[in-house]
Amino acid sequence: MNANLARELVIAAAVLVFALVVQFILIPTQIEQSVEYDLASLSPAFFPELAILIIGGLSILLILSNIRHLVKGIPPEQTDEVSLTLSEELRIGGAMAVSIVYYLVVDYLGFWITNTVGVTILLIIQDRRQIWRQILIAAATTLGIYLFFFFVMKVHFPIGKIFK
Amino acid sequence: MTSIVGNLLIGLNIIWTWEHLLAIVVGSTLGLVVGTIPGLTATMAVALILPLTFDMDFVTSIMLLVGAYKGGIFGGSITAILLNTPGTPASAATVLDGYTLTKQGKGIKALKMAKYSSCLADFGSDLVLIAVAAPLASVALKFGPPEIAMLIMFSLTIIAGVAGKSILKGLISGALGLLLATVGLDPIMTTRRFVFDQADLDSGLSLIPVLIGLFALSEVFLQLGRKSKSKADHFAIVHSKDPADNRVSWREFKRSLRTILRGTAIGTGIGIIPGIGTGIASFMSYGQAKRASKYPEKFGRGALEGIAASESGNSAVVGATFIPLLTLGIPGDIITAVIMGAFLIQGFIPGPLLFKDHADLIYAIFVGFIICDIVYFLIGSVFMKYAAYLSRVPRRLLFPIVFVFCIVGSYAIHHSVFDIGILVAFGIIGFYMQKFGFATAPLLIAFILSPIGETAVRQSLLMSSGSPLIFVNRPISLGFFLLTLITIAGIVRSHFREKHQPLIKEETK
Repeated sequence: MNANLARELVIAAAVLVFALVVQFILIPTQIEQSVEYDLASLSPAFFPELAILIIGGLSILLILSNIRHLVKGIPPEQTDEVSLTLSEELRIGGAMAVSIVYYLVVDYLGFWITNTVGVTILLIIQDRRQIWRQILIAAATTLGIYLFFFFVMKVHFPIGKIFK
Repeated sequence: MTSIVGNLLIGLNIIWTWEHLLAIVVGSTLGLVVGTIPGLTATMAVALILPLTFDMDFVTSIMLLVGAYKGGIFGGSITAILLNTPGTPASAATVLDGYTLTKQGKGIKALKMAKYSSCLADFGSDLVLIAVAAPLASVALKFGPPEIAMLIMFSLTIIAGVAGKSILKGLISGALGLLLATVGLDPIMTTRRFVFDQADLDSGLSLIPVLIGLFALSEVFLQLGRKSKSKADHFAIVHSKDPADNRVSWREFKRSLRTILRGTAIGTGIGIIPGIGTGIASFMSYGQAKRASKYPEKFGRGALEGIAASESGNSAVVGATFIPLLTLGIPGDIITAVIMGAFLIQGFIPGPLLFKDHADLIYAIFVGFIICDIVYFLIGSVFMKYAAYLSRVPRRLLFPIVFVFCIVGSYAIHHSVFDIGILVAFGIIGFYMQKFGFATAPLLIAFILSPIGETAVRQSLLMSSGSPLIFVNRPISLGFFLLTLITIAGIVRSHFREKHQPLIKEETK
């Protein structure tokens, strides 16, 4: 089987699974249905169900379209997919991990430490030479942004729970 | 006509303050800077500037963003001409003749032609906006919930259909935007939906982190993954010794004037239709100019008319995209969707009521559009000389700094760490959507339009006691319903044709 076609089928199947999970697990548990509604349109679940119906229906069409391509032996539809090498994927994964950790720790460590460390790691992901220079750049960036947003925009950054 | 002139004079009186003029100058400069740097787009410029506007008054904030939008689109053409890399997708067609002229030592001539055609087309498009917005808005004032519901459905169909190569994926992306917009309190019954016991989610997903995540952070992830090509990205403006190569003569300009006017008409027409955007306008204008030219063989080999066509096409879209936004409350493209966010943050809901309640402010913005054209014409002249330095900003420094701006911009609105979480989540979602070929624009536009659509659909069904016939019983909503069907048929037909074109060609051979 063509690798691209297999990938497209997996993507379409994942979208369908997402639609089913929302319809049968999330909507019943995450939308309060305490009142009996006379009209379906009054139900708070009406619009989410409509959106899921569209997503589910379209994902089935996507699966059928890919199966048709598979049966006829023609390549999958051209899409705007971004192709990346393994090292690029790893660097992107690293950047994503930095942003997730940033979100998780900024409340505890505060803006200064989190931002300086986060930016340093992002700079190192790009270029592993001259680590001290990267730390200095990260600290200068943090200071510059702090001064601008604190004094001009009146933004108060988290100080960090551990320092309170 | 008299009332338009009168309103424009009132608008001029409002906009003529140093704060507003400074906002236009700063916005245009920032737009030019960001547009010139390859990898940073006009959308990213507007999204990152948006958090800086919270403390500003309404007109100042909109002028800053409009300046960035206009400057960003023109800035993209500088790298297209000098570096063979369009700074923004809107300038992709400019590369064809622009870079060839640079190789011939006529880079300055090409840049000047780009500046003249961009500013003229932008100005033309702004005049159309001023002329048609108010009359259209007065028609739109008659819309009730069924008309609004069908109008939103029509807009979503166009947007999802034209965004990206796969219609199905574009539509899925749009439907996902509809779903994500339902997080928070239901607009009719105020019931909690998908909040997972998080009080932060009661008011829904904040728009700013969602849009910065989808359009800026996802791009930062992508660019951080790619190694920078340090030396290849540099360029220098080489002045030719022959003065004729460094200026556009009156004869050359006159020869391109018809092309500029045609490009303005094409760009304006495309800008009025929601969702199509600058890239298509630019190529369409280029194609038409080539077809109409006496020397089509010169196109792609350094024709000034080619630059005039492409730049007038993409710049004319800018003013026109505000027509659906200001008259119907529907963003004309992704950047106006971001600017719509600024309207909402400032407490103004874009749409026909704005003309009724705040006509003075709207006309002040219209006058600001014209001033913007003059400002970026003047700044552009100076800026072109220094554009080379901007391309030397190392990418390895640039994107970590943009990353911090994304974080701080999202945090600054509500001083909420939770918003950083939303930003990161949507940055990752946006990246994977791009990776798997799902356009992110339909998601954002549906996310913005969904609350209006949901309220309108449910109010209509309440009015009709649940009968969906209300959407086809009223003439205007029936009109929009038929337009939706025609659009879907058109999209499917053109998609089918495109897919089978190579097969037909092969069979003919």
